[in-house]
Amino acid sequence: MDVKEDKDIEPEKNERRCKYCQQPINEKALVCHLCEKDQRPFINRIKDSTSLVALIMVLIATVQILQTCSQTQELKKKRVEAEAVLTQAKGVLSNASTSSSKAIKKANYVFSNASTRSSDAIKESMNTLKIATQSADVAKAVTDKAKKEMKGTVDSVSKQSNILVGKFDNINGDIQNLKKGVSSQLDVLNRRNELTALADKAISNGDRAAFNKLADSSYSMDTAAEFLRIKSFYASFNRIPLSMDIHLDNNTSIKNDKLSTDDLIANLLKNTHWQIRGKCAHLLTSRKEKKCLKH
Amino acid sequence: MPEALIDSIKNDASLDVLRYSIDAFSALTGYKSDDIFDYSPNLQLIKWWTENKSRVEKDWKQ
Repeated sequence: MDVKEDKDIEPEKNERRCKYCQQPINEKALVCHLCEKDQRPFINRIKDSTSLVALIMVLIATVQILQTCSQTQELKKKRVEAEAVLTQAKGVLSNASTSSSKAIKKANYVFSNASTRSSDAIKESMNTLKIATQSADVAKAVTDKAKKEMKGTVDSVSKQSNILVGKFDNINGDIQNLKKGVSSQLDVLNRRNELTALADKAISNGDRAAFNKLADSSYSMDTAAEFLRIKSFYASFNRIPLSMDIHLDNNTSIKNDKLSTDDLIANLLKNTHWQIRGKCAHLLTSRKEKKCLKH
Repeated sequence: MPEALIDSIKNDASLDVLRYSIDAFSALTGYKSDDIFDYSPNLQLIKWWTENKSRVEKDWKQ
């Protein structure tokens, strides 16, 4: 059928023109029976777009192929690198294996040496232990012997010390008795010394207070003896020059017979010199006069 | 005077003075002491004087 010819033909009722070839087609026809094109616009669009999509897909596929090639190249590179690393690792492993083998050998050698040494040490220790045990036995024997001897000595010393303690107790008792005796004698001597000192004061100084103190002390042979010594002295000796004239407190010298009884009494009671008071008392002996009674 | 001598006998601090005072008192009054210092806890000399004072003074007046 010639299309150009159909263009001139006017569509009949229930017909319309094809959107593509402009020929009259059934109004309800979906596809032109002439150009075989679908009268629905979206279907055509889809058909058109399908080509475009296919083109895009082809592009994407191409891109992906390119990417895959690139990735493949990278993978190849990485594989090469990995193989290099693997080779290197193998070398390292080999070295490590060699080193470990050497170390094991060395360790075996050291262990062997150590084992030998420890064996030697154990032997030496055993010998030492044996010697020590023998020494200990000897020492124990010596100690036992020494203990026995010591026990004998201790017993002997104990006996001796008991004897000495007994003697010491006796001596201590003697010393205590002696101490009591000495202490008693010392008390007697101290008391006698005190009495003698009092008597010495009474004699040498004419100290009446010492004499009174001696007289007030409890009576004993010692006191009586000192008393007698004092009295004997005063009965035998005269310390007041009776023939000399009296020198009064004002340094005036007066003949004995010129002194009045009043002067004698006054000087007896108040003169500060004991020799003058004594001489006044002596002179009063001869003043037995009636007038003396008034005094 | 015997009173002055008794004062001396009672109070003088010197044994030499005491001795001569007792001598003088004995000579004047006729008191006879058995002891050079007439030491006695009962003050024998003073007791004697108290008892014999009037007699001694009467003898002196005669």
